Amino acid sequence: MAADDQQLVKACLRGNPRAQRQLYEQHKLPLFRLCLRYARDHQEAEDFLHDAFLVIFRDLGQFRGTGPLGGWMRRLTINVALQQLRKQRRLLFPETDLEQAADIAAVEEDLPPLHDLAQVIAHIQALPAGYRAVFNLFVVEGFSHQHIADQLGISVGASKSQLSKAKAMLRGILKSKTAVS
Amino acid sequence: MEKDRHTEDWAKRLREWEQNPGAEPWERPAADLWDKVAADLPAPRRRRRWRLGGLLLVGVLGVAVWLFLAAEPVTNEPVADRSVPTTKELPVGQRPAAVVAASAATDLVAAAADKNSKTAEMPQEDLPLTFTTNPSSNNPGSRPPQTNELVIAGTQQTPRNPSVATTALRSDLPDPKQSKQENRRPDPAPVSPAVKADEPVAHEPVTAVTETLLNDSASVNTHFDPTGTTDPIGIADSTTQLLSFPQAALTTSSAGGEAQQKLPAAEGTVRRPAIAAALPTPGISEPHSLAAATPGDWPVFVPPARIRSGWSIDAFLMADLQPTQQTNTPTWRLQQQQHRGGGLQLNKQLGTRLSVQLGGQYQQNTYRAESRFIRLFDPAQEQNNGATNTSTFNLTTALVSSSGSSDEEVKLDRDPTRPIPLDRRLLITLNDEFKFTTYSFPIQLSTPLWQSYPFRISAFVGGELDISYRTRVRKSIQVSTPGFTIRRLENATPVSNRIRQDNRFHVQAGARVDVSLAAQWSLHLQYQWQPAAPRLQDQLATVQTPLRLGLSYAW
Repeated sequence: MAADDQQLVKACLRGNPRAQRQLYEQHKLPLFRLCLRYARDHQEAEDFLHDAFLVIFRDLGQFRGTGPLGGWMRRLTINVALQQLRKQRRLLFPETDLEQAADIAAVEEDLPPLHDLAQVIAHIQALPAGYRAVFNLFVVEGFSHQHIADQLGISVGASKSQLSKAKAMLRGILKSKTAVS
Repeated sequence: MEKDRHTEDWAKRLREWEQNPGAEPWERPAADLWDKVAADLPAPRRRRRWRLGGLLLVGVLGVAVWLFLAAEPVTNEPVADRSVPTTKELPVGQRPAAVVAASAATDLVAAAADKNSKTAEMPQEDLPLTFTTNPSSNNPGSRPPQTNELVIAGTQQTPRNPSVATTALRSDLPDPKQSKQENRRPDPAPVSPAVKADEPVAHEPVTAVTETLLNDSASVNTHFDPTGTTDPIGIADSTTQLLSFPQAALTTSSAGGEAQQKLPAAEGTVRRPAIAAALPTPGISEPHSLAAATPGDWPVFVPPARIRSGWSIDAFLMADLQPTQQTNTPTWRLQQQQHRGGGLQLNKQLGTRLSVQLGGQYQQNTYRAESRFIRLFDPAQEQNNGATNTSTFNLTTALVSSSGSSDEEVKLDRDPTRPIPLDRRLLITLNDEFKFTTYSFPIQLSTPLWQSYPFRISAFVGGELDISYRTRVRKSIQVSTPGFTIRRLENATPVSNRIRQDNRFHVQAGARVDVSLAAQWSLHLQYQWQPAAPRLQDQLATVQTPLRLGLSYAW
């Protein structure tokens, strides 16, 4: 952890409002973009970010400083987003056994090339919550299906299935958009 | 499953976009979001801690002050020892109105009934003058001032005329020893003979007394008209209302000699209320509570264990009445195994209807936790260490709380000569034991609901300050597939023992049954309901209903 971050964390732990504001300003953009990927719209992303910063300030004392502060905050934000989705009961995963997941993986196709980021984010937001969560965790965060399964309390097969369906849906949306344009 | 080319590109572009400093409006949170966050942030912990500590300190000090200054301890001391002075110690004209009323009421009743025939037989100058001085407040080494002595600025004078007589107010106080002895005398005749003002009295200087409070003779004389000529009926009526039985009984029986001798008495009239005759004779120990006007108003029975200094101490053990708590997800399971607790509590009785309790208690819940992880075996990821091949798996347990987790790394060794197929499912099970310990400091107010010796049922409300800790003990690690041995388990981020508690103060209410065993010992059973008790994990029940069994000692 950088010395600046260390001082900032200490000041935040003392309850210094200026330091808290500084920490927020430093990290609000990357964390909000992360929230945009997990939320269904701008408003929900703001709710995620709001809750995430409350958790960050609450748990800041547990940050050990072994890694970058931004990474720790990012991870907490992902946890908060998943927790919120779980609370809203929008993370519903149909159980899929491993064999079915293997079949899905075998027929899986690649994503189309990414051109317009804003459009892609909007399409990701349009995905069902379960697809969106697994897609983000696997594709962007780089978690394994096993880790996702542990994190979401689902089977590995369900995780693979959700990812496959998310990709298929994205491909469909992007193809239709390309055809229209 | 390997990521394909475009998927990798998506991941890269999206990660870079997160760190991109420039931002379009749609990528930015609302400008006032910080205000919302700041408004929801708790006050700085240190300040909160101080505020909580300050409140607790003020509360404890307040209770202590209340206990030691304001509350009159319940006692079984005889009424005679605590009563106001008897008439033989004070001259009628020098006594406070209430005392005069109490002592002379019966005579007033008689005088009122016979005022036409017996008026002005005794001038005020002929009233007996008896001055008593509290020996403890004067020079303890000197002789206690005798009756009919006036203390003025360190010298003594004998008042020749009681209408201008002055005396120290403290002389209104009784000599406890003297009154106690006299009250226990069966003979109603006065112990100290009243001395008339015109009788010679021996004088001795008292040098230690430096304070003299003078009574206005006029005000003294307006308290009571001994002749009964001004408005004896009115006075008699009002003073009769002021009577309380034991005092009336005391004054009419033990000290009645003086009053009856010096005040006009009507022959053939009733000299005291009929009920007074039925009251206990002075000197016999009776609870103070018997001072109530009628038996119907007497307070309920107070067990002997509660009527000493009002203090008692409880030692108790606790058990949770709730069914075994457990919570499950596909990957982990948590089950309560054991609950135990105990503590000490100090009680102070405030009168017969209220008591306050302060204590400290300890509770420990033990949980068995099982975390299950399924991993696929991949020989390509193994490291060869000569005789063994080692696979490393990262495990994340989200067991302790919804926002907290523990990252661990387990290393599994296998004999390379024993082949294991690719993607073989490995079920890794971690068995842990969590101990969740809570130290509580309750403060409660209780009131009796029903009591009949030796039983007493009371209800209480209060709150407690909780401080909780947890410890984890790894019991075992199991791998379902044969051929593997567990080499090492490392905690990347170990479970923190500190418990986050947003609210450390919790309310509680309950009921308690006391059974008196002996003079100072009693057994109690207490049921308690606590709606927001601290807990190890968010999914566990928040309500606690501990039952406690204890022994009390009162003194």
